[in-house]
Amino acid sequence: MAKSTTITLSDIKNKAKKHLSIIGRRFNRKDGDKNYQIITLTSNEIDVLDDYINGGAAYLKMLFPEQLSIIGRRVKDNTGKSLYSSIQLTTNEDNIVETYMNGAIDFLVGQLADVVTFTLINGSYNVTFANSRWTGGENKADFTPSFNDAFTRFVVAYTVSQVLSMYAPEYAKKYDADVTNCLVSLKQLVFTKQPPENTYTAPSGSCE
Amino acid sequence: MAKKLICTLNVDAIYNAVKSETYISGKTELQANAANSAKVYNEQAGDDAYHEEKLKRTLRHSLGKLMAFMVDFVDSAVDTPMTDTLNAISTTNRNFAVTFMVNTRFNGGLAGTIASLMQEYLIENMISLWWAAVADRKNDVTLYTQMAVDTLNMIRKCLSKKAPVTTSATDEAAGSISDESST
Repeated sequence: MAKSTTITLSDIKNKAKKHLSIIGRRFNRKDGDKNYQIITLTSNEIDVLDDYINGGAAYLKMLFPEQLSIIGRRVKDNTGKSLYSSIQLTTNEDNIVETYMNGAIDFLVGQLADVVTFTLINGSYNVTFANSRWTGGENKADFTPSFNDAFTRFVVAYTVSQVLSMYAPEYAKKYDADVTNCLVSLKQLVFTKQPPENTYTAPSGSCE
Repeated sequence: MAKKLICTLNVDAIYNAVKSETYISGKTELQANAANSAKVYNEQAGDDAYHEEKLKRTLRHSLGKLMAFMVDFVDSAVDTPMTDTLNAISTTNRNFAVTFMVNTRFNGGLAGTIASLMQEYLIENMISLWWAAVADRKNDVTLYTQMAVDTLNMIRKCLSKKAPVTTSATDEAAGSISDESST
């Protein structure tokens, strides 16, 4: 019997936009070296951190503020005025996010088509696994949360990478690496079989 | 008068043994090279639908081979083909039985041993057929085929006759020798 899980697309879209808004904030940090210390995480960024933490990469919690500080220290403008708070994604960018998001899912469908079936139903993807030992099995492991999280992070990273590569390719590299890592995680998760159930019954013989 | 030897086997125990063997093999291969996850996935028998179909087919085939090996002992009074016993397996009853007619000097104490050996033969032959479908596992095919042959030989050995029943002195032919030279 096949296993399945459901992932809501609007949730992914919002996460991708949050990632992009953080990048926008970095780019508009105009104060130079002396003020980098005042950068604090917004609720969006905290959400992103939670996203990473839930994905098992807790070490990023430590690295993320440092990265922000370093980037904030580097970015300067000619007047020294900070514009980061006024930058928002435009409608065009919003559409681009959606386009790339669908592209990311199409890419993933192709990579995992051997054993996974994706079905779009009312804005959510229902993912069905051909392998009934994908989750459960003898040790009752549930890979569903990990898969959903890796799936979401893959689509977010792919989308952000594609958008950034248009105007800030140097920042896209980090997301390119995320795409690669998430894809490896997804493949390892999907191509996993749990130990078979232990139902050993000893054979018996009789002589009449 | 012949004795009836009944061996009862469990289909899930057989399937899961094949799955466990290939699972262990895949896990060790994965430890050596983590990038092999897709290859290992396809080497580990079950639970994709087409894996299950192959397992069912190879169980039927292996049981057929076993019956052919035991042809001299098949119960001639049973008209139903032995492999049809697999058709009786349901979700609630996972056992199937095969019956043989053995001679009166068969050692009944070996009935359980023969049942175990039969189950092992089915498992080994199924694993051999499973590895035959995997590109770089020809060495395993050879190994498991030889193991299956060895198991068949052990079954053959168990079917040997016991020593004849010890007869009492009174059953022995009577005879006497007389010394005629004294007359």
